[in-house]
Amino acid sequence: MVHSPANPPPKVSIDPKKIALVAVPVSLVGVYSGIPAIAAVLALPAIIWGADAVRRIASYGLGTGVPSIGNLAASIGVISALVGLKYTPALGLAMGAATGFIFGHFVDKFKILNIPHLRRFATELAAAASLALMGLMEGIAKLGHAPLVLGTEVFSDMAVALFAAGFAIPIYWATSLSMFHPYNVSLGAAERQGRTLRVAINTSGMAITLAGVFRLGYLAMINQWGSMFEAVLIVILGVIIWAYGVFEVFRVCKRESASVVWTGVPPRVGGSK
Amino acid sequence: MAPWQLLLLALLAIIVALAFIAGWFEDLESEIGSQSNPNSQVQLAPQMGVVHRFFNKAISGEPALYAFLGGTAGGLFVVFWQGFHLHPLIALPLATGLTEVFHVTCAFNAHTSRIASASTYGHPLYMDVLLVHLPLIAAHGFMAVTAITALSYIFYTSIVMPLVPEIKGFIGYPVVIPALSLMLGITAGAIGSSTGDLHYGAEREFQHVPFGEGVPMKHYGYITVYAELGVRNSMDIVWFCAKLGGVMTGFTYGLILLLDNFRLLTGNLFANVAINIVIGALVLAILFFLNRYIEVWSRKKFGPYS
Amino acid sequence: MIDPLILILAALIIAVAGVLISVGTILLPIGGAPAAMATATGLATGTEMMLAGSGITGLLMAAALYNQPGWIIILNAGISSAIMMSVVMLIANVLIVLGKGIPPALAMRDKDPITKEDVKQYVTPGTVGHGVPTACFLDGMVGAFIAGVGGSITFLTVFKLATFKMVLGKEQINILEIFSPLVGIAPHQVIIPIALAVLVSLGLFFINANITAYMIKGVIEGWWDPKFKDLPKAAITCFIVTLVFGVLVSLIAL
Repeated sequence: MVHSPANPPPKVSIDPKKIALVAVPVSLVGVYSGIPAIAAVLALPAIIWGADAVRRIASYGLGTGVPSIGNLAASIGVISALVGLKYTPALGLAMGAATGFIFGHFVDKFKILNIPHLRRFATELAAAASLALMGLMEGIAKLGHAPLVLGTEVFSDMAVALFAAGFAIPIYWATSLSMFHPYNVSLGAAERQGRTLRVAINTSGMAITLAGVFRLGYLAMINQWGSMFEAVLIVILGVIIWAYGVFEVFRVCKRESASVVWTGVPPRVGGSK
Repeated sequence: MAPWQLLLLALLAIIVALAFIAGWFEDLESEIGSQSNPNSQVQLAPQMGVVHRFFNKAISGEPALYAFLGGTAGGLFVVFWQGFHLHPLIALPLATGLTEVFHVTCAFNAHTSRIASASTYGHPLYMDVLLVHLPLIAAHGFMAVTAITALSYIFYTSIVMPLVPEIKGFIGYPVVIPALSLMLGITAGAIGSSTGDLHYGAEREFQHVPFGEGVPMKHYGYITVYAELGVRNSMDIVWFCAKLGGVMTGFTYGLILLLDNFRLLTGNLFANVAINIVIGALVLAILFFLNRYIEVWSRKKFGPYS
Repeated sequence: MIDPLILILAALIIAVAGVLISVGTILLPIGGAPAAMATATGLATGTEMMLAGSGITGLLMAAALYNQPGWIIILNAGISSAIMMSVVMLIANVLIVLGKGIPPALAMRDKDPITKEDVKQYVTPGTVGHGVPTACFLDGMVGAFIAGVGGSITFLTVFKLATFKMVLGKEQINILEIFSPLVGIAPHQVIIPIALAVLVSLGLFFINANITAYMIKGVIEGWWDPKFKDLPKAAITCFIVTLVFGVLVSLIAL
C-alpha cells in the first residue's frame, strides 16, 4: 500500500470540536439522569474525547511522556469527579476544567512545555477525565434511580462502595489507561486519527465492563440481589463495545500495515547481526 | 516462642517469597513482550531498515501497566471474595485469569497498531509472532499478578481480620485490597524497569556489541536479529534474561519488602517506634557502603576504557 | 458546614507537600530510555514512575503506622522510600557490572562530586556515562527521602481530616491535631479514610512528578546537572496547581 510522507500536520478525519460538542451534553445527561446503567455507558463519548485531546497534545512531541499526561488528567479528573458527586455534577465538571486550565496556563507561562494551544487542550483533557470518571463511579456505586441533582445525601452511601470496598482506585487507573493507551500504541510515522480512536473504543469498552463487574460485586456485598439485572446489562453492553473495538482495530490494522504475512525470514542488513 | 510469634515469622517468610516471584515474573513478562525502555530500540529498528520478529508491546511504562493489572485483579478478587463469598483460593486465580483478558487485549492493540504506524518503513506484520506470543504474555503476567494479589490479601487480612486474633496489629498494611495491589504493582513495575531492563537492553538486545563497554548511540536501532538458532524472537530473550536479569529483579523486590517488614515487625514487637528509625538508618548506611565497594571493585578490576 | 479557615490551612499544607515532592523528583538520578542501553547515567525508568515507586513504599509505611504521632510517621515514611531507592540503585549497579562488564561512571563532571575521584577515564566514548556512581547514589537517597516526606504529609492531612469527620464525628477541628497521635481506634474503623487518603496521595504524586518531569525532559544526573537550575519554575507551578487540588480535596474530606 502506498502511504503519504511522514511529516504532514496531524490530519483529522473527525473534527475535534464536533467530538467535544457531542461528548459534553451526552455524558453530562448520563450523569444527571441518576440511572447507573445509562451513566456508565454514556461515559464512552467522554473517554473518546479525552483520547483525542491526548493525541492532540502528544503529537507535538511528548515521546515517552504520553502515559504521564494520562495520569495527570485522571488525577485531576478523579478529585473533581468526587467533588461533583458530592455536590452537583456541573460543579465537578467546572472545577475539573478550571484546574486543567490553571495547569496549562502555568506550564505555558514558565515555558516548561512548548505546545501551542496548551491551555485549551489541557482544559479539554481534564474536563473529559472528570466527566468519564463521574459517569463510571456513578455506575459503580449509585443505588436507586433518582436523578442526581444535589448529591450530598447519596455521597456517604457511595463512599462505602468506592472506598470501603476500594473500587474507586482501579477505575481511576482504568480510565487513565483508556485515555493514554490509544495514542501510545499508535505512535509512529503513519499515525492516523481514525485508527487511534478505534483503539479508544475498545479501551473504553474495557473500562465500562470493569465498572459493571464492580457493580455486580458491590450489589452482592450489600445483598441487593434484585437490582442485579442492571449490573449484568452494564457488563453485556461493555463487552459488546469492547469486542466491536477489537475487531475494528484488527480490520483497520491489517488494511494499513505495509504487508501482512503469516511468517518470514528478515533480510540481513548491515549494522545488525 | 509462642505459636503466634512463629506464625508472624512464617508470614514474613511467605511475604518475601511471594515478592521474589512477583519481581521475577514481572521482569520476564516485560521481556516476552518487549515493553518499556529497551522497547524503544525495537520501535526504532524499522526506521533504520532492520526487520525483526520481536513482539512490540508498547502498552505504557511497566509501572503503569502493572498498576492497571494489579488494581483490576485486586478489584475482581474483592468482587469474588467479599461479594460472592467464594473461598480466597478459588477467587484468586479466577480474578487474575479474567485480568489477563484485559492484558491480552492491550498487548494485541499495541503490536498491531505499532506495526501499522511503521508502515512507511515497510515492516511486515507477522501473524505467527502475534499468535505465538500472546498466550505466553498472558502466562507470565498471570504468575506476576497472582503473586501481587496474594501479597495484598495477606497484608490486608493480617491487620484487619486475622484468623489468629493475637497477631492483630503486628504486620500488614490497613489499605483496601484493590488499592494495595495497585500500589504493589507500581512498585514492582518501577523495580523491574530499573533493574531487569538493564540486562535486556544493554546485553541481550545488542549482543553483537562488545562486552565490557556501554552502547554508543551510533548503534541505536541496529538490534541483534539473528541468534543462536536462526531468527531471534522474544522467547529467546526470555530464556536468556531469566538467568540473571529476572533473578536480580526478584531479589530486589524481596529485599525491599524484607527490610521494610522487618523494621515494622521489630518496632511493633518491642512497641517502640524509635527502633524503626535506628534500623532504617543502619540499613541505609550499609547500602551506601556496599555501593561504594562495588564501584571501587569494578573500577579496579576493569580498568579505564581502552 | 465547612470552616473556610480549616479548608485554606489544609490546602496550604498539601501545597507545601507538593513542593517537597517536586524537589525530591528533581534530585533523583534518572537516565530514561538511554540508560537501559547503558548510554546514560542513572536508573533506566521514567522520572514520574520511579518517584511513584519510591513514594508509594513510604506511603505504605505511613499507612501501617497510622496511629503514631506525626513526626514519627513522616520520618519513617522518608526512610522507607530511601531504602527502596537505595536497594534499586545497588542492584542496578550489580547488573551493570556483572551483566555487561562496565564500571559506573558519570559524564557531566571530570571528578565525582562526592569522592573527588577522576571518572572521565571510565566513560565509554559515544555515551554519557553508565551505572550509578556514588554521587548519584547519594542524590537518589536524599531525593527519595524528601519525596517520601512530602507524600506522607499529604496522607497524614487527608487521613486525619477524614477520620475526624467520618469516624469521630468532630465538628470543631484544630489544625494542629493533624500531627498528634490517634488513640484507641482499631484498623477496621479507618478503612475508608485510609483509602481516600491513598487515592489523594497517588494523585498528588503523579501531578507534581509530571510537572517536574516535563521540565527535566527525560535525563538528569544530579544536582550538578545544568537542568537543576530550573527547579524554581517547576516548584512554583507545582505549588499553585497543588493548592487548587488541595482545596478540592478538602471539600471532599470535610
